[in-house]
Amino acid sequence: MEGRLEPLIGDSMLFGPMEDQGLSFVNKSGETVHLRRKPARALMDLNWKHDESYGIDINQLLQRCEDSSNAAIQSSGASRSKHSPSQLWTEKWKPHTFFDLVGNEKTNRRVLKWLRQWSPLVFGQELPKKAPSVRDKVGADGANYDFDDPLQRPQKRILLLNGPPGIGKTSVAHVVAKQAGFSVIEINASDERAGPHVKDRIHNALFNHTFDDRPVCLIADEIDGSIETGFVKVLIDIVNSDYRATQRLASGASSAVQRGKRKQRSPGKVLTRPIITICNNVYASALEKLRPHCEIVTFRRPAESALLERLSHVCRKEKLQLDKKRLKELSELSQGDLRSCLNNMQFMASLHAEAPESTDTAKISDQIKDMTVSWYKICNQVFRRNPHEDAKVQFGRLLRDIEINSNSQRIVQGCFSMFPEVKFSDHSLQKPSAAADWLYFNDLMFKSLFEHNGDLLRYNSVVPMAFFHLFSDIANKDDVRGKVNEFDHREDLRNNESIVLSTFRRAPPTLKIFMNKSSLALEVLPLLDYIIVPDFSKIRNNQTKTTVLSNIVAALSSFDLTFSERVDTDLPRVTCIEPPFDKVTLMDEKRVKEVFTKRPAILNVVLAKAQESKVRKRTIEQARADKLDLESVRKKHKTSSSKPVDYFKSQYANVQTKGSEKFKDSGSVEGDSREPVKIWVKYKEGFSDAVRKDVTWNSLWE
Amino acid sequence: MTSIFYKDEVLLREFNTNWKAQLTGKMSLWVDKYRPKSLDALTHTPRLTHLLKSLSVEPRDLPHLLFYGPNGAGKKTRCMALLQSIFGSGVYKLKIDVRQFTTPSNRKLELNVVSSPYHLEITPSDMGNNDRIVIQELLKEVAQMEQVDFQTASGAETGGLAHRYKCVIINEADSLTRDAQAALRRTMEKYSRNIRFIMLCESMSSMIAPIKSRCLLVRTPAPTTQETADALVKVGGQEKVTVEDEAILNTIAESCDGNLRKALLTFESMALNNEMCLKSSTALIRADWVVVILKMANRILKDRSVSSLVECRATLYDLLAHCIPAKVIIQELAFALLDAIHNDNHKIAVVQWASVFDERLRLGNKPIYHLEGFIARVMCEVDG
Repeated sequence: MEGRLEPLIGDSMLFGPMEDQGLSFVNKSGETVHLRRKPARALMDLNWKHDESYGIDINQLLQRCEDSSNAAIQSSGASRSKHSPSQLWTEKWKPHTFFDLVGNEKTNRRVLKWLRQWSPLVFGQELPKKAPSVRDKVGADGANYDFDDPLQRPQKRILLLNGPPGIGKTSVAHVVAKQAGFSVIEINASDERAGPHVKDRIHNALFNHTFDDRPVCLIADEIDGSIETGFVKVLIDIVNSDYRATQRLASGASSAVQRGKRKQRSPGKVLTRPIITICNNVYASALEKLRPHCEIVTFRRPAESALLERLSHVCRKEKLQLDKKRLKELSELSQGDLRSCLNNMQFMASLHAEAPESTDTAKISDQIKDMTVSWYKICNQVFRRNPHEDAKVQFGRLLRDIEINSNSQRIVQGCFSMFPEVKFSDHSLQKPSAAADWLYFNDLMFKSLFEHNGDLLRYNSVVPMAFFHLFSDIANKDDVRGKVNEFDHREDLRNNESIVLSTFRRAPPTLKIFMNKSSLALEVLPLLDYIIVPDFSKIRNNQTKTTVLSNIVAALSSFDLTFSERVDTDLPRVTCIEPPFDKVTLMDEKRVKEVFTKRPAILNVVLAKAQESKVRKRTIEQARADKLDLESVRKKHKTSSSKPVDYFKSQYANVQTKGSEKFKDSGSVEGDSREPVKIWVKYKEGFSDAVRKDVTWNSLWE
Repeated sequence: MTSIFYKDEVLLREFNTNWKAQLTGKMSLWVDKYRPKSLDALTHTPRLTHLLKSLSVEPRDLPHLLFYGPNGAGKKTRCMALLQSIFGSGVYKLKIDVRQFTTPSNRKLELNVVSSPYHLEITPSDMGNNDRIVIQELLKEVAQMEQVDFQTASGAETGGLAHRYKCVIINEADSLTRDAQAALRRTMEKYSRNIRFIMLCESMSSMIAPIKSRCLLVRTPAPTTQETADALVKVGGQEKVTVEDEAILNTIAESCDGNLRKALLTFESMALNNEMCLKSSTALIRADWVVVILKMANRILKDRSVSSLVECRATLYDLLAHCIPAKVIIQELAFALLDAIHNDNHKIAVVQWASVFDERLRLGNKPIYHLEGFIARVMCEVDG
């Protein structure tokens, strides 16, 4: 707050040099205070545009803030000069107004904006000017609900704040709710939140009136625990019933908009009070169903400067002598966690009071609460030996860091992937062998996670220490990066497994029963890979060529392999086999190269050959089929007429003379001596029976 | 009629769609083409064939069977041949059903069950940890269903409708969990009227004793080198492969170590890649992963340094990513090292450490640690 006011006052100095001395000062020329005030206001208006005011008179607010903070300074001079152990600083310095909030102002404003959108319904006051813009926004991204909310509520009924701990989510929610004129009802993890109990509580909070005049805003804190599904379900039920009710409102009676509140008893309940939910992890599984109903606001760690400003503000107020450097260190260690910063500061202040000399910079790290260092940093630390420091001290510090870090498995993995990259003195790989034993130890300990409830996991922190003992060296100064990426490796494995599986699935059951997946991957596929692509250019004898080809075709067909075209990076179109099992089988570098140059050409030959044999087979089949047809036709016509064509022609002529309309019901009406004849003509187009179409008699004779 | 040949893509598609229809099931790899379908056609281990024949004479008295023997020795072939001799060639009319099961935790499982009118077979590795449920549900369902045989109704023994059982083949029975095996043992006794089990496994060590005692154990030994070579000669003769020197067949048989499937596949790939003509100088074709492991073994012995270890690590990752199980890698690597090492002390060390690290592999879940540890150890030992 001060940061904002000071430059304004500074700007106003262009009116006169004396003006910064006080509010009711009269300067040389006899000008009075109000001259100074006005430009300041005008400038504020520049910063706070009218449509951003959320219906609150910001300037008035600023004034109020300034007054109160001045009062606080004065009062703290008396009461807060000595640290009062009765109150935690985190409570004491909790933000009380919107301007006390540290951190990304944009997110804070978003919260305020969302909350203000409730005011038309809750307070019955129109939002000045900005209402249309909100509507526009709703229209733009609210594709699900294409009608305007008759109660002018925000499109998403629940606000979901999320972010790492200690950066003021709860504070923001409380402050903003208070600022907007709501009275807060908080439900957090300490409350009973199971099933019907919580349902009653929420319904009481949301749908009943309170005794004081202020409307209620429900704040549900810490909802991402795994046991919260019941609670989340209640919230979802509320939202769903609200949507139903709202839909009814919007479609049913547009005149009912005014009586919206009274319509609560209809099948769905209209939600008339805002709900703010808070969690750390927005992607927790418990929240999966709730997320689509929520306006999600993500909080980030506040910028360091903002944090420092707040800290120094507190320091000043608490009369704590901490220089900038130390504050910075503090904020770094806490990784933006303001709450823990304050806790640590209070702790330091108490130390300070007892022994003012003892807080030197070197020891600050011992006083702060345990902070985790990233696994990657630790891994690199493992391989470093500081010559100026006692090995014991270094060992102790490293061990502490590792024990604090929850990701010991990751650290061990990192040590494993890095140790060949670093420098160390060794006699014929004794050290890597010893490391392997330690890694086995690690593997066994980690297994306890599944067997003994993870009791043995804590021994895992010893393993990086073994690496430190074996591999740490003065020469290692730069950060190393392990070459092999475990994740990529796992992805590759999964891909290949799925290829093997799909190949296995394609095999007909008669083949499938004689092998399993491992024998397929280990024996059949690698050799099949050789079988299907022999080098044709070598074969001179045509006879052998045909046998080889027919065998290849047999092999391909038995596994139901097909051809497809792969658009590769360097070669535009490459014929390859589907499923691409060669990805699994090819490993030897030399052969991989060979295969990539030769295989497509060979496959093309095979493809052509297979095509050819297919066509030949088809023509033979077709000829046979034709022959059969002819014979059957001949058999039929032996009874009636000698020449089939003449027979059809005479039939056709007969029909023609009778006229078309008679032809339609000729079957039933025909009183002629000749019995009615129906002619069925089967006409095939293409190779298969796939194309059937109606053919008129005429088209056959044309 | 439009021509379909004007465009490659159309040609491809057309080809793929007609592929199956055009090529009837007759054509396949040699290993499947020349697989014996009946007991009479079985080649190696005549004593076992004799035993199976005697079993098929009195099919009503067929006991539960447990075939065990190495991979590629012909367990399944013998099993199917036995069924064929009992039920007729209908056992090869196979279809695949998809069955659904629900676990206690309400998760839906789908399992492909291969079945013929006379038998059905399940593979525990398809179902992961839930094999107990599948065993219980599926087998009880089958076991409680009385089979009625109308075909041999004239049989005098039971007067009219002969009673018949259904065979259930359990592949990879050694990967059944303890629970599943326990669930199996009661079913085997209680419903032995309606159901017969034929279990196949490589090693009996993980089968529980009650199951072993309920089954007739049938050891299926791998064919000897000579028997393998004979089988190759037979196939070669029918496929018109010119074998100039029988020695090459022996080489193939030896390299495959009694795995007839592998031998036949190798034989076919070599024949096709060498113009259907095998000479004694023809290069042996091995699977890529075997070649890679051989190369790695040579590198280990030649260059014992950290940089070599790093290369080995990359190779190991690659092998693991190509679906080669860690236990196979360590086994192949150990044998490759043994072949390449001449110092006896070193050989003993390699065997010793291979078994130590094999144990670690089975007990732990991080194969890469232990494989690399083995290599580092071997490098140390060879350095002395």
